[in-house]
Order: sequence, then C-alpha cells, then structure tokens
Amino acid sequence: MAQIIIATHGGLSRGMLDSLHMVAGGAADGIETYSLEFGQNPNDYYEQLRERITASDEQFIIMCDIKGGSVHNALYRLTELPNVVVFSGLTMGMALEIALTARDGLDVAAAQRVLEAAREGVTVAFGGETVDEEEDEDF
Amino acid sequence: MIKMLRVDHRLLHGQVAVSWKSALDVDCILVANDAVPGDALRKSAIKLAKPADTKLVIKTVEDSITALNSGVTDKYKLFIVVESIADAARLCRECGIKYLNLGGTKATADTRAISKAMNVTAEEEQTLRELVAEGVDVEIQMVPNDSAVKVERAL
Repeated sequence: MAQIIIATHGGLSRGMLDSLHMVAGGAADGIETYSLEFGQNPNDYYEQLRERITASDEQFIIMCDIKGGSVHNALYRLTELPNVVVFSGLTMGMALEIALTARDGLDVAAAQRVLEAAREGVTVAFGGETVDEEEDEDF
Repeated sequence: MIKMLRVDHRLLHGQVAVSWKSALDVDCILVANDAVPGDALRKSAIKLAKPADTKLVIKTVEDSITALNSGVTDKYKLFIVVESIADAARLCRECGIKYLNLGGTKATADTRAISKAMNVTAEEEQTLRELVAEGVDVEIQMVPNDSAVKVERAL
C-alpha cells in the first residue's frame, strides 16, 4: 500500500480530503493531510517525513498545492529518496485519480496518466456563447 | 448486458461516473430522462462528465425502454442512470431489471432521509417496497467503495 499525502498552505488539504470522501467514499480513507500554518516552517515537516520514509518500504505519494511554493520546495527535496513521488498543482481531479488508482503505488507511466487526468479536468466556458453541440451517440 | 441501473438526481456527474465505470467495467452509459434530450445545455454538461473510452447515449425513458427491449443494447456492458425512483421503477418493470442501485435523491420538505444521500417521499417509499416485493434487489450505495445496504433495512 502506498501512503498518500496532501500537503498545502493552510486548510486546503483538509478541505480537499473532505471533498474526496464525499465523491470517492472509502477510497479516500487513509490519506494524510499536512497544512502549513502561519509561523511554521515546512522544512520541519520535511525532516519528519524524511525520517518516516527512510524507515519505510512503502511508496509515499505527495500532492502539493502550488509548484514552487514553500511546501512544494521543501517536500520536493524528498525525491532524493527512491520511494517518493511528488506532484504539484493539486486539483480535485488529480487527487481523485490518485485516490482511485494509486493505492498500490505509481510507476512513471501511471504518474503520467494522473497528470493527464488532472490537465483534462481544467477547462473554461464563457457565458453567452452558443453551446458547441457534439453529435449525439446512439446504440 | 445491463451492469447497473442507478437512481441519482444529479444523473451523470464527474468522478462518480468514473469510479462506477471502473468498478463495473462498463463500456456504455445510458442516461434515461425525459427532460435532458431536449435541453442542449444540460446535455452538453452531461457529456463533459463522460469517462474516456465510453459511449454515452441520452434518451427519454420511453425511448430507453424501447431500445433496451429491442436487443440493440445487448452487446454493451451498460450502466443506466435515471433521476428518480419513479423512472427507475418503470425501467425495472418494463425491462425486467432485477437490480437497482440507489445513489442519491434530493432532500425536500416532503422527503425523509433513509441514508446519507437518499431522501424519499412517502410515495417513493411505497414504490421501493413494491419493487422489493416484486423481486428487485434494491440497494443503497453512493460510491463503489461504500458498502451496499439493502433498502428494506433502511425503510
């Protein structure tokens, strides 16, 4: 079993886990969260995690909120350990894909599929434009 | 082959669709609803929720029953979603479907909660009891990872 961690500035990680439970039910069980609060330094969390990961055979899959943010900067350094995968740019699509498909760990190809699922979920639609209707399918 | 008939007032939506699709290994989703086929915006929103590698067919309940009984759907591993217990009962009765999954219905002043996500009126409760009496296996299960609860234990 892989250990999945959502790590963010503030309460986003806890809120994301709450939302995951709503749509994925038990598939979200066992996911950990880390919230960086004012006055804390994410390097302290990095040190704690580093110790846990070093002592473990499991893969640790870590999702960070924003690329290059202090949480990502600190936890990215964990990739010096072989059993670590670090994502940035957390979205609900990414978190769901990981909760539903990565409980036994991710290889490079599976991680690519997670990124594709996350990117496909990012869209925009403008009000007032005609609906671009695809052709209906039938049996 | 019908893999599942589901009641969900939100019809087909996002990752719930994805999680059921992978749990049931379905290759075709039928949305059976009388309002959606004539509503271009709602139809395109439902198409956004379509999982990759899946066929999505949207038909009125009547047209759905005709299609299911004609045999054209036999070659698919089919997941059918309806909005209401009444629509589900029509499909069960007119197509001989013996399993019904209850995913979610909205809470209103006239409903009572029989689970976290299922809210039923007195009339719907009666319909569910009748379906069970007619031999339909009716279970409440919002997502595949939840355990299923027999509806007769919740009523």
